[in-house]
Amino acid sequence: MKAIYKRELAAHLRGLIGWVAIAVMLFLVGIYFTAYNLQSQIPYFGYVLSGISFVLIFICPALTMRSFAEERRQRTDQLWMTAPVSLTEVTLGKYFALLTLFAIPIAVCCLYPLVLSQFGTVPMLETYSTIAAFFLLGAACISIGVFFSSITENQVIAFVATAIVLMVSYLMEGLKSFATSGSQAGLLLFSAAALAAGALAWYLAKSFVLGAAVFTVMELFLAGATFFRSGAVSTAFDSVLDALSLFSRFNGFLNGTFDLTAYFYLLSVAALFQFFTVQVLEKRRWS
Amino acid sequence: MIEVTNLTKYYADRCAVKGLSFSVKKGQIVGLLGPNGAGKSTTMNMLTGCLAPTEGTISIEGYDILEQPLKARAQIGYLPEIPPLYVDMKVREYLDFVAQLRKIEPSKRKQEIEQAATQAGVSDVMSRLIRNLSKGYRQRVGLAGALIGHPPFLILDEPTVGLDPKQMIEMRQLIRSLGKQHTVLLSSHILSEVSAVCDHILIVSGGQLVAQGTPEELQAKMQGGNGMRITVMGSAQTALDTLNQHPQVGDVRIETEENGQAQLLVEMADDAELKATVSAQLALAGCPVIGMAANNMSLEDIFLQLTEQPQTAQTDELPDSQPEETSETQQEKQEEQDESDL
Repeated sequence: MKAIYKRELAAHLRGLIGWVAIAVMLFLVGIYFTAYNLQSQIPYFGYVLSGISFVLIFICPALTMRSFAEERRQRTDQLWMTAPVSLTEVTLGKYFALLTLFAIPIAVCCLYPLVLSQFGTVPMLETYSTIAAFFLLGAACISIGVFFSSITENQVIAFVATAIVLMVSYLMEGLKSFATSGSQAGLLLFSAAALAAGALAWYLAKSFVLGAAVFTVMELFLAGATFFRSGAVSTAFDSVLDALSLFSRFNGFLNGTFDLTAYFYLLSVAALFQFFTVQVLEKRRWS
Repeated sequence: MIEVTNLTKYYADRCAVKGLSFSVKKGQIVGLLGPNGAGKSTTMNMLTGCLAPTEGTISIEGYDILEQPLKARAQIGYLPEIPPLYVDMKVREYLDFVAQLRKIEPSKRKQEIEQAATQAGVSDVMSRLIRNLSKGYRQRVGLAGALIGHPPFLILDEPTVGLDPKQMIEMRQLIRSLGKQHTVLLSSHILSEVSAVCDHILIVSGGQLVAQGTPEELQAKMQGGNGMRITVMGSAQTALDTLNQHPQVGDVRIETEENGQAQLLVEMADDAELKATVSAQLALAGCPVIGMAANNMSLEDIFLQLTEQPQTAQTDELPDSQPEETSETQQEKQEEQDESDL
């Protein structure tokens, strides 16, 4: 794992994308810091992070799009597929290298509250727990990006897929308030999910019958649930939307609440997508 | 020793490798020979753990590639068809990375890298970016990577493809010298290469093993008894009729007929007296002999013959079931023994 980690980190630092991503992020941090903390004289650095959180939608896929897609295209994946290392080591090595890269701008962000504290009182504990949450938010986004990079050999597809997923997650709160009116939206969403699951099954198992079966079973289940307990669908809908919203977890920290479940939630998302990535790579041996 | 039994691989419903069984003994240089698309790369990918077989087992030094993948893979140095090089690294960095991947102890790493680089002949480009290296050097760097850690088995997938003739010869010499310390399994679709380098040849076609043996054995197997190639001036049909009348001459076949010359493949003993009478008779019939030579099938012919009809060939019974080899006795028995050893 150490070997992969070192190589990946060195490759990121040699390449352009990493530095550009860091620069963009720090530039935006600078602007928001000037606007919120300096001009409006608010001591909360969290607002700056909240302001720039949308940039993760583009930065994370840019950092992760190459990680597995490019190796597959160049066939360099054969090196570690045939070396005496496990795929978990490979995946985690790559992931931790990306986290290290992402930690660079976060480390710079950690300096801002110290600067502010020279001129007034800054709620340090609150600020740093928010920064930590932001780092975990990025970690979850990066994990999702690595996963999408592992399922394709085209960087562009990896970028776009990750960006779309993160975008939906970012907009989730807005979508939620938009769709609480009834269970129609829930039905629509669950149908779409069933369709997506069916398509995924079709793609992964290369069997249309299986995909269609997955879709049909899920639709039947949905119809049953709607028929017998119509309230259940909209409740489930709400909680599903909640669960898909990465960014709202972070926003909770802005009110000054320390939300341990949010940490666990973000960590779980990161771990889950790393697990998926290993499974995708392992599956490739069996294709 | 590598043991492969009943190896089968399906991609979706297309069969790439079907029921392949063979073994590679220590110290051999084994060539996996077959036309493009015969399943060579697939087989090698399965041997190295890159792909999992649909059916069958692979054991490397007693480690099953699926049950104990890390231990099995540690025994193998693999050079795929496209060397897996990170072009943004320098050669030394790359080899160091491979050494770490292969879990070489830090204290031994430097020495291992130097050794592999010297063996593969890349010592003079150690501080250059791989991106800037020529194809031949890239291949060598890939080979150096495969050599790191002294794996007992080297698996080389088409190691000479894309090299210029000089580099090809160098690569072959290199493989030969590697054969002294490692067991080498290499694949190729170039016959002359395999027969020049390898001690043992496995011919695959359509995902099946169609023949195996040393280059000499294969040649002997396929020689087709005692054939002569006779070239005459005049009508091929007359020559055919004349030859057919001779009691000691077996099957006769017209091969070519052009410019008043005909070439015939004749089944007969390579015997001076017989040749004299045959040529005298042909001269009498108005077809003077202008050339007569023993018709040894080249490996090239064997290869073509074997790979053209993969469906009819059955792996297990191939050496005996070929109708051509009725008169081979001793060598045949020797081979049977060899195979029963496997």
